[in-house]
Amino acid sequence: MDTTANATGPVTDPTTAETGLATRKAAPGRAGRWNVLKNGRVAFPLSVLIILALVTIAAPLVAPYSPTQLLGAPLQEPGRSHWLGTDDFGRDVLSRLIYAGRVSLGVAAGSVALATIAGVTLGLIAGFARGMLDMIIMRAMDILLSFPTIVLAIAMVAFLGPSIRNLIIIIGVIYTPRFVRIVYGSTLQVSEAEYVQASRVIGSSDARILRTAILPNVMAPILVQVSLSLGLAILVESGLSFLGLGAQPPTPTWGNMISNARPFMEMFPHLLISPSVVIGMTILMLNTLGDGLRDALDPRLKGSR
Amino acid sequence: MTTRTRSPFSRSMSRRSLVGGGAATAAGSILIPKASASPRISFPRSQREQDGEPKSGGTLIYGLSTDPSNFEPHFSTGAASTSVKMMCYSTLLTYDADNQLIGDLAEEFGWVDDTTYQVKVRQGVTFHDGSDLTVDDVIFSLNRIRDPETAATNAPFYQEVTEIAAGDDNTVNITFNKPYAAFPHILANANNYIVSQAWIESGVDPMTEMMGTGPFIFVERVPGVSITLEKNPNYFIEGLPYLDGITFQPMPDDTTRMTALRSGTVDFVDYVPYTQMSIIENDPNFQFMSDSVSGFGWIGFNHEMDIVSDQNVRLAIAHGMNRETMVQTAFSGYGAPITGGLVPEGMLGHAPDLEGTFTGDYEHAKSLLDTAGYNPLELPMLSTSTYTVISRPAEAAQAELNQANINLDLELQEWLTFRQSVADGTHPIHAWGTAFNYPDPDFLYQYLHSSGTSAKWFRFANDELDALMEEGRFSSDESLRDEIYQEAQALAAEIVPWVYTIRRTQGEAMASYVKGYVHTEAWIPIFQREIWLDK
Amino acid sequence: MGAFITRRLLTLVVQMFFVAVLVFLMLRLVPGDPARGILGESATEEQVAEMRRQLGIDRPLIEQFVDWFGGVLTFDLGDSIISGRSVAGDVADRITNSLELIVVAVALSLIIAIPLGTLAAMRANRPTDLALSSFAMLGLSLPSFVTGTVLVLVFGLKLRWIPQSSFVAWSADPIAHMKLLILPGLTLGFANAAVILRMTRSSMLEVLRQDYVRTARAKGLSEKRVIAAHTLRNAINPVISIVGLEIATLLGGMVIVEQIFNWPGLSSLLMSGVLSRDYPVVQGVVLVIAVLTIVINVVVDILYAVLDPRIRLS
Repeated sequence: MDTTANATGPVTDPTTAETGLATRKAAPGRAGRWNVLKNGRVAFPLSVLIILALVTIAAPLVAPYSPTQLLGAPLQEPGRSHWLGTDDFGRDVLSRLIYAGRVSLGVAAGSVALATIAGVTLGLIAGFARGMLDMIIMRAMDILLSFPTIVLAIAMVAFLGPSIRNLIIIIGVIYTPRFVRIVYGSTLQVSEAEYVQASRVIGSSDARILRTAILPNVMAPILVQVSLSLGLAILVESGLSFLGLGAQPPTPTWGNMISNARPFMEMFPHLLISPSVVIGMTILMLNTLGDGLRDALDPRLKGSR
Repeated sequence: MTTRTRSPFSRSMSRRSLVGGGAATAAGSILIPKASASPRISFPRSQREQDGEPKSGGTLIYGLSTDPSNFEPHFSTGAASTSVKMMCYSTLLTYDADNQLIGDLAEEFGWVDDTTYQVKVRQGVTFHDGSDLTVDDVIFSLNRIRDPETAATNAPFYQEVTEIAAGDDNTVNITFNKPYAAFPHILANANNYIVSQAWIESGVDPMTEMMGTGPFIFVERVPGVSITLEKNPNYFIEGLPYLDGITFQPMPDDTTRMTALRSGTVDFVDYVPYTQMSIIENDPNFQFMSDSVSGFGWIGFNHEMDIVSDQNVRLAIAHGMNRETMVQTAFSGYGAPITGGLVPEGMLGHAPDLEGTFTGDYEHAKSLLDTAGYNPLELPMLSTSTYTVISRPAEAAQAELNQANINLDLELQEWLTFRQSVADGTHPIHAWGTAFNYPDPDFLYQYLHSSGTSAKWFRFANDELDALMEEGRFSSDESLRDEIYQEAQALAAEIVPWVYTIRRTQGEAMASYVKGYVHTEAWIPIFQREIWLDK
Repeated sequence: MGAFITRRLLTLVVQMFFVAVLVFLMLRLVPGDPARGILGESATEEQVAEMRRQLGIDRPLIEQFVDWFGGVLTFDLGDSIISGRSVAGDVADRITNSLELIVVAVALSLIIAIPLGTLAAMRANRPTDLALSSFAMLGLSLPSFVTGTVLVLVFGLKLRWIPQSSFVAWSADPIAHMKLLILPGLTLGFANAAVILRMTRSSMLEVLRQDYVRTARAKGLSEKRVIAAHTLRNAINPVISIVGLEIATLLGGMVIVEQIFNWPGLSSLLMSGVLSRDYPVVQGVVLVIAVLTIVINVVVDILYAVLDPRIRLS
């Protein structure tokens, strides 16, 4: 979508590859940005997510059993010795769920980090430098976006192998174009703002302009997109697991726990419920965080709070 | 000990066939009845007798586990495709409800001498386009299979054929270099259909169309949606088929397919996933017919790679798995352990003495590792995510071998990538599974003889096994073959070219009103032609 | 406008070429041999080589590419090497099925989401809003194969309201066909509805604050008229672009839903093509999707401009 930013078009929802365009009257002050954390809609989901991340990181300390050890009694209902029951191999579901968090969150974080870094770099270059570089980068992103994800995923898994590191690369590559577009749009917008033009006129170097004027303004939509993309990345990983392209057994991920639970859905629903609830809640928190960040960081809406 | 008669049209007799007298069936072949149905097939023979008189009419809706990629009669495109192709095409021989060879397009069949096999082509059979089936068509079909340009799946089995020619009185003689006892099974094989010479030569595309002598006529195919067949009114078996037609609906997703059966959307499904076997078995509205014999899993090695080239390591792996536990873990009990030789009970060459060789002795495995100098051992193992019947035993093996200090890093690739990797020998160990090509111990040739496809992937060769495999294949003496294959399996258990893991239960499920079907151990779905609907 | 369209069309052609090259190379770099897949497990290496020769895939890459792309330029997408069927024919069939499902899904999601999103915006930050937003979140948070399977289990198996797996063509039985669209449409639509609901909510919130709305309210126009006349039209813009993009993404990305509901759409054709390394099929489908994506983008841009002349097209 190449519609330029002068529209009073509202902030479009970045969950589906839209450029996040917000007209800004002025760059928010630095102090103001940290106030974001005091906002309830940001603080609450953020805290939940941090706790979740800590629990999964501390998996070896927290989980009651090993995630891969067969404990002899498959398909047990939740009970005293296994709070969430056991799976079809006789492994403790709760322990697997906690360890799976490491992989799912790790893959999501890694891939989104990759996409962010690549996206910001490419988007800034394209938006700031314009000209040939702009065209090449944006057209390349268009090509990547028009490529069906499935083909990319299968081809890359077949080529690179289905390791976790490669999953991060694959999902990162898939999400890069979205970040590029957001950054590009914001960069375009900001660089046309008066104060930036003024900076140029007085001779500020490009690097300084990038650093002081553009980057801070681009941060907000990026942050929003990051939190939303984290949720999407978790979903993509679960989809890839469903299609058999995900992490290797016996490594648990939330996604492959769900897809492995599917054949047993009718007789042993507990296998499906726990990872679904956890994924759902995590993504819920991520989306709430994204919404909260967007509402909090967008100065136009500040007045209404 | 069995004795082999030399009369022209006797079939090879298995050891089971000692019991009972002879009773002639139609068309002159001597049928030796079984004492009882094989205990390993979960299908009550008495049920068929209770079902009563077949009713004609109705269309069977069949939920198929894979959408056949193409209809080429001489390519193997998977078991699901066979369910379709076998209804339009016929083979010379097929199997009866007791897994014995009977004639289909062949009226009579047998060895005329050690190296010449003869079939007498049935008269009065017509193709769906009305033309007559002739001896020329049979010869054309078999030669088409032999032609390297066809790249037919069964071509390797015809390697020793020197000539295929018409004989007197509507017979075809197939002459070999050496005797080849298992050959009749090839003629019953799913990729050995007889096609019309005129039809093929007229330039049709046999990948997208079917025209044969089978009980059903191909009407149309909508990819991903349906394959429609209708009754062949001129089928050469009087009275068959009872159905007006069969509509195959591809449903690759296991859960979707089983839900379709259980909600009544389809009448019949193939390939029941083990997770649903108990549900179907315990539901009086459905029937489940299966065997736990033919499908088996194995662990293969690349013998050119370090560590696994050491026999002690391979033995450690063979001993480090408790197969009983694996059947539970992998298939919730729907399978059978392989603790000795691969040839199952009841098949020629079964080695009862070998049973119980590999019971899952972790201590013994560890001591073997010590001898080899690799305790603990860590290795990458390749398998495929595409088929759970292959990946689950792999995971179960991984869990078992952990207890024997062997840690396998599992890498699951999707199907074609996996097959490429195995052919390229990228991993020292791979876990795979398949089923017997045909119910004769000669199927071991592919794995144990150095010229066999799988043996080449294993990069394995052993002169003694080569000699045994050749002797077994080219001998015509039943009792000798029995001894040879027992010896071969014993040797294989010692030198461990590959390790067998477990057998799986495989079968079809259908509504209770679907009658007449029998699941054969050879996985030849010929009994689909006898299905009738009791409603 | 004319210059705009021409420019975009040129870009389309160039992009198409690059997509073609990309997919062509990608397929050939991926390990796995279609010949081996066709011939089955016990194929000998000689047979595989012979089949490769027959399929023409042992020729130099440039030759294969020129051969194929030359055909593309004359609208001939070739034949599947696995099934022998015409790629263009199969694509045409499948795309109709996919588009149908997408249209139903989008329609369902719009019907559900726009009113609810409007409601949420009007009752912003109050309990109704919270409830609706949470419901929307749920749609975004669950993998489609979970929602789909649960829907099938509940409505298909337990309640037996709806048949759920065997595809019936429209021409064969329109009623049955339409019934079949409900569950997959809902599954696909659920996630979509969530997105659109939030979108509608945020853009409505946005617009509701605009001066001209306040003016309209001050003038005494009823709430309904205010909304209908002024806000909805503007709020629709982003929805259009979302929908447009969704269609393009979904065409190739509906694999899971197609698999669960056995819907013979374009995604499953693509997926099975990739898995069997059916080069002509994958190349053909990817090209078609790429072209459609670009075309849809252009259409959306035009619609955007038509609906809001304030937008400058550069």
